[in-house]
Amino acid sequence: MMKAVRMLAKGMAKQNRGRAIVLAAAVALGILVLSTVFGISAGKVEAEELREIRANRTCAVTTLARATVEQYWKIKSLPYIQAVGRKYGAGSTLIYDAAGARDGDDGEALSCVFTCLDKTAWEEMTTPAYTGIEGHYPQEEGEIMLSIRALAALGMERPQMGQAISLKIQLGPFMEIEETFTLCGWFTDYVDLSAFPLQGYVSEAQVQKWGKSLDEPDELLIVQNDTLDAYELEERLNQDVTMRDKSQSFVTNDTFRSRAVNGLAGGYEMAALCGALILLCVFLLVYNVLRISMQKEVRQIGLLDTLGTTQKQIRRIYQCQIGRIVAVGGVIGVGASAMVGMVVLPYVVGGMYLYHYGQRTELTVWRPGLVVAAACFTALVVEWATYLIIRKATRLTPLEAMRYQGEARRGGKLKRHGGKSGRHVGTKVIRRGSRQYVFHMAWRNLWRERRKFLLTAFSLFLGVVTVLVAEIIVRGTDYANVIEAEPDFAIGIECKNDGMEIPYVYEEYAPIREELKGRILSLEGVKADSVEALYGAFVIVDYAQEAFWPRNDALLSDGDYENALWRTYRKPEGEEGEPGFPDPAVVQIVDDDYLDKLERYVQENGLTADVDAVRRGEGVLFLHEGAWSEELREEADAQCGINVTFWNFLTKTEEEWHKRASMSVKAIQEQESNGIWSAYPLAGESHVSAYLDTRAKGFPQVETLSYDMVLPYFLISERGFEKLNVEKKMLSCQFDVEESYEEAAKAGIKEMIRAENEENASRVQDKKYGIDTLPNLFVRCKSDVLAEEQSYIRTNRSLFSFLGAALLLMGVMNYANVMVTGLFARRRELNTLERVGMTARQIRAMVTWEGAMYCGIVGALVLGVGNGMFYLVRWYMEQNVPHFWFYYPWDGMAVVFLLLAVVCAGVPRACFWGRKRDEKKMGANV
Amino acid sequence: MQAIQTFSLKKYFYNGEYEVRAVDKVNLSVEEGEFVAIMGNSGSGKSTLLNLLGGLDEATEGEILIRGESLRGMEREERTIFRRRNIGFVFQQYNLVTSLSVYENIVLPLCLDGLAPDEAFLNHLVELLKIGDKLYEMPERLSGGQQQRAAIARALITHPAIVLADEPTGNLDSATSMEVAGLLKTCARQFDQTVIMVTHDKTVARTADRILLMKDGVVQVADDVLSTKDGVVQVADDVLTTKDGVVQVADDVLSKEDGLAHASDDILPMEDVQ
Repeated sequence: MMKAVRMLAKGMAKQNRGRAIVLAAAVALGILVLSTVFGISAGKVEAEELREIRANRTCAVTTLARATVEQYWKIKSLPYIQAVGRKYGAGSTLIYDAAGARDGDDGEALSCVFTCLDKTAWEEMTTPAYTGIEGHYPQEEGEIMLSIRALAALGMERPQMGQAISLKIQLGPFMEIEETFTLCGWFTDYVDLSAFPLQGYVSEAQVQKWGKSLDEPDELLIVQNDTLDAYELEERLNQDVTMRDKSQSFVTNDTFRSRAVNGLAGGYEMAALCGALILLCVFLLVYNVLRISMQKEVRQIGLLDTLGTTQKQIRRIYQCQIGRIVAVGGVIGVGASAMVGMVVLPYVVGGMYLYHYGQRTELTVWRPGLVVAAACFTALVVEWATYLIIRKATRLTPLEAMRYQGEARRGGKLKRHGGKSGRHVGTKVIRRGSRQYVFHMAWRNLWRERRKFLLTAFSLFLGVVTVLVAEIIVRGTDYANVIEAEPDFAIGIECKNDGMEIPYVYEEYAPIREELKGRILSLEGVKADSVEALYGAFVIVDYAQEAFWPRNDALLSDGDYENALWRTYRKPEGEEGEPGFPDPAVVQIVDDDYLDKLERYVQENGLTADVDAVRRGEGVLFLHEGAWSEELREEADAQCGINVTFWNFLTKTEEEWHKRASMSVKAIQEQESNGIWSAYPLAGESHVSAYLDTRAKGFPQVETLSYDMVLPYFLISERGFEKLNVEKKMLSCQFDVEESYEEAAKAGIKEMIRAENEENASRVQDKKYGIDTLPNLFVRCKSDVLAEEQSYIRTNRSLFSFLGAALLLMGVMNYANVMVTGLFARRRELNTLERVGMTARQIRAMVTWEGAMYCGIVGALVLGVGNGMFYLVRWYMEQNVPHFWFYYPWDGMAVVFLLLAVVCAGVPRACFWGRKRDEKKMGANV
Repeated sequence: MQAIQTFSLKKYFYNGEYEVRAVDKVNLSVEEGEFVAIMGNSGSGKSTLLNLLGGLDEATEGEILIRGESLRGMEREERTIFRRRNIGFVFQQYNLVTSLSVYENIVLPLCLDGLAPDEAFLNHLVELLKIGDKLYEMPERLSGGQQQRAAIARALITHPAIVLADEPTGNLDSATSMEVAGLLKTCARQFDQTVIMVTHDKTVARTADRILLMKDGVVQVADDVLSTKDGVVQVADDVLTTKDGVVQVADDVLSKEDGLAHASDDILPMEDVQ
């Protein structure tokens, strides 16, 4: 029996070489497109994720400070948690940068922190952030592992394994020890040292030696499933894990992978949808090729059935043939994928994704697993399409199959026209000119095989719409949008080293003085009406006030012991205790529009907030971005309306006087004038109208200075600010400049900022008596950022263009296959038409019209259904990607339609010419 | 033994509001080894009847027994295998598998059953059909007559009890037609097979043992032999002719055998008439 099957399969394969070539090409193209599309996407996601991991030194984005052993095991057992690691803080040291030191200078003091990690935290969560890891993670007491940059700062350009390193380690605010370590390894890290300290690792034994218990890590590092967003994760963790006290809470974030996926396609749902669209395109292509090519074989199947071939045997015959085609197409596809993945794409993407964060070779586009999956999927699609078609053929009786004439609708009724009495029964004769008749015939030709027509049009539509949707997503999520959304210039203050906390300033200090603003605005080309500024003031507050208690507790939860020890103690409840220390805070003015938005947000989310009090000038909004436990939030809500007092900073003279005064003099003064607070001029009081988490879902965005959970940040209305006895200052500003003046303005502004920073530095020259340093002003120029990121943006775009082209190619191939095979099958009919008097020109016009109708229906579908899809994508992306910018794909549409028109009309014409040429050749031979 | 029996066989088609009775209450009985021709106008139901007999189509009503085995109730797979083993088909369009050589076409039904061809029988068959030298040719390289002979060989290779031929000479010239019909008859005789042949060609039909005439789906006595006019049975002109004032009976109507006049089967086909 198998002999017969093989014999038939072989014979048919020999006879259907054309189909085999088209099908093998479809299979190869399917594998190539699938593996390339998903390879690029996965590569991009992986690279973006790696960038983030490298920029943050870990892949763990969720943490829990002061976790207990029970909490550790509980979290470890949760099904939505991938990994849990333990981290112990093991002190820090100051390293004077030997690499950057000049003659007679110690070099800049760089902070270096030491951490101890367990196996999971090191191997699974930290090593991906580093490259060039040499040696081993510290195991023994006295072993140390340092970053290459830390070693360089220590003057060890060529470190040796086992080298002794002597360091003074700060174990706490009052505890410093000197220890000699043995270097057991090093690594290359990529964090921004202006925001992160240098990093070193010590062993658990070392941590134990320094008196820390391994049972209670400073922090649990948690990696959750990628599909779980930060809000959902926090909710589930809070449900599943019991907190040790009210100040303990999880700090949750979306995983870097999920952020990368969001950045690529807006989320897993959209990525899945795009994936499904691509798979559907491949399916339609393969299915259509098979379906069309198999049509004429239905009769053959009928004959075989008549001769006694069972359905199983028929299936085997075709499976043998298709299997061979899939094998050939598969080899070609896998080869082409390997070629593109290993040679072409790395060349195209260049040094894109890990730009600034490691070597380019680490971007993997060629993924054998993915190619195998693509090949398997394509083979499955072919198998499925073959099954559907053979099933259809074998469902017919042998007789029906042998008489099969294609999928034209059979048994259609003639329309009756005539009077009610039916006296004039017959078909209506419609008079048409020859052109209309040709048009009519073209339509009839398509409509008689409407299923093929609609399926092909749908396949083309899918190809076109996928390309356009890809364009919308790519352009909408383009990193350039993030930059473009910014103003041309932004001027603000820069905080050194810790990067976040605002240091102490003089009362007369203003980040952007009015005089500076005036000079900037007077520059040629600066658009005065585009200036947007943040106004407010730096103030002094007493963290011991009740208004700060939730924030103080949250700091404890964060494990920021230094701040907890120095700044977060409470007055004993119900007692008038000693005041705390004068600490800085920011009060920023917001307008009524923002307050309206905030009010809507508060109402929609059922939050406790008296926004109206803020509007009336009687309250302030306490912002925080640290994760507060549910209990803390409730406590904070309960104390809404509580008083908060603001003081002004001291003037430069006052500050210096205080520093100069001896402790005894100060002590006398403090006693005489009710403590140190008497020195600070009272600015006024207000009520805390709400404690608001700026990271909460849907929180209306507000431009602020960068701050962390240590620095209290208040929003206040203009009216409320006026009630305070504080001078209003410009905290930051941003503005646009006319394009032609941009370069000149940039040079001018940079010079002004440099001069201003120098002046600020000179104001604190006498560091011994006064404030150590004043914040530096920075200017951020959009054009500089764009230029810096240009290579990244360009490569990103070119990759997506590549994807779009591949998808469109599949649609076009589908169409070309339909037209070519269709015209080939109809050659007898076309000859007959010619014999009965249809001119070659009319036939050419007819087939061109057929192509044009495909173009028309695809156009109509794109403008109708496609438009709906575009807006659906827009809605989805806007919900998920904050920087998404919707562009209606006019230009893409124009290009695609033009291409479509050329292909739709061109393919049938080309086929027609081919037919005429063949006929001529045959004629010549005769 | 009866090779084929049908009982009140019906095949009706419905086209919207119309009912077309392609085969209507046909009771047929064909002896083993009998060669029967079915004639009739286009649309009279002869091909439909043949398809029903071959199990290619399902009857609306009635029963078909092939060598005593009913086709009704057979699963599709079962019927396919039954057809493969018991029925050979010859078509007007030859219907050779174009991707296979003549030899492969002939042995295909055997191969489908996992059987090796009986080389002696095959050689005998192809010699009889005069295609011995064409065995390894592809079908498109053969003439129509040769293709039809190959199709006959394919139909006979499995020693089927029944051969159904649907207009086997429809695409052939008259000389080749007679040759093919003769071959069919010879083979049937030689291999003791029952042949039912649908044809339009009276000359070809006359090679059969019996002629059935179909009209509107009903089997009738051949109306070119006997017809009714004004209530009187008429004998066709070509049956009785006048020569020199004497009424002559056509040779193919009455033949002389063993000194007795015999009526040809196609004139008086029905058993009860005999």
